[in-house]
Amino acid sequence: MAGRKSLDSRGRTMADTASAVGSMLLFVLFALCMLMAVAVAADTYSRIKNGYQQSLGAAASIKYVSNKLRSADSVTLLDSGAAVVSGDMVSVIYCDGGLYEKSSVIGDDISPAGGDKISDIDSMSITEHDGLYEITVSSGGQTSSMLVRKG
Amino acid sequence: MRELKAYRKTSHLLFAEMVIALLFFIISFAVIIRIFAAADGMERRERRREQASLCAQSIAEAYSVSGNAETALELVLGSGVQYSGDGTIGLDSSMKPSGQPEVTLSLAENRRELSAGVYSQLSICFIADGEELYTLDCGAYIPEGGAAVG
Repeated sequence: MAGRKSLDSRGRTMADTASAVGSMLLFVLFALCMLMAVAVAADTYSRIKNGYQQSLGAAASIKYVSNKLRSADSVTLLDSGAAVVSGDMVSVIYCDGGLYEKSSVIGDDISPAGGDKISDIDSMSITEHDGLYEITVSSGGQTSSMLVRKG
Repeated sequence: MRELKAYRKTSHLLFAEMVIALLFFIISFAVIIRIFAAADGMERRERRREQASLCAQSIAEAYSVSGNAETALELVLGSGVQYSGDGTIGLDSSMKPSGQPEVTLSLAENRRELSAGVYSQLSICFIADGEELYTLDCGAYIPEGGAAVG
């Protein structure tokens, strides 16, 4: 500081100050760009992760239900969009804020409540038409459906 | 005078360091943006591929019941499916018929009369951006010669 104060020319002092301020402005610009880069990267990563999870969740749920329907000896569709599948055991597959399955031995009363969570989905419905089951699953605003042959 | 020179030298070095850091940042940012754009594209493609696989399996299941490619398409995509000039069908990213297609669906059917009955084969192919997105070849002995669904 003592050296700067001893300068005798005003022009030289202003030029030095401008250079220092320019360097600081460049540093601020650099910091802003870094912040922007981090924000863009975080947003993109979050979008990719969410999309992947939704897509995987819906597809995995549909394939799980379709395999259950294929392997069942008999299938009973419920009004709520759920299904009761019978084989060695009786299972009810339903949606209650996620895909759930509850199994029981044949002959016991079974209701769509208190089952094990299979995956995260928003809604599911199973219908039948033209000799086919239609499984429709919604997850994160995306709806996927698949047909499965009866019997 | 010596102090002034030393100060200016430091100031110029700081300025040059900042300019180099900014240039390095710009190059790195361009590379990162390209990587994220590629990752986003791959995720979209994977999602379309997943939808295409579900659609293809649905068509195969419907075909095994109906024994007719057009009926199977109606069961999966709904009635009034529009074919383009080359016999393909334009679909959007959720595999619904669309006037501005992102995905093209083409079907090839082959029937053979065997001693056990009529054996029908269907090749299902989804194409996006000029590349094969998903293909499925299926075959079945059609019940009652394909009259299970009217």
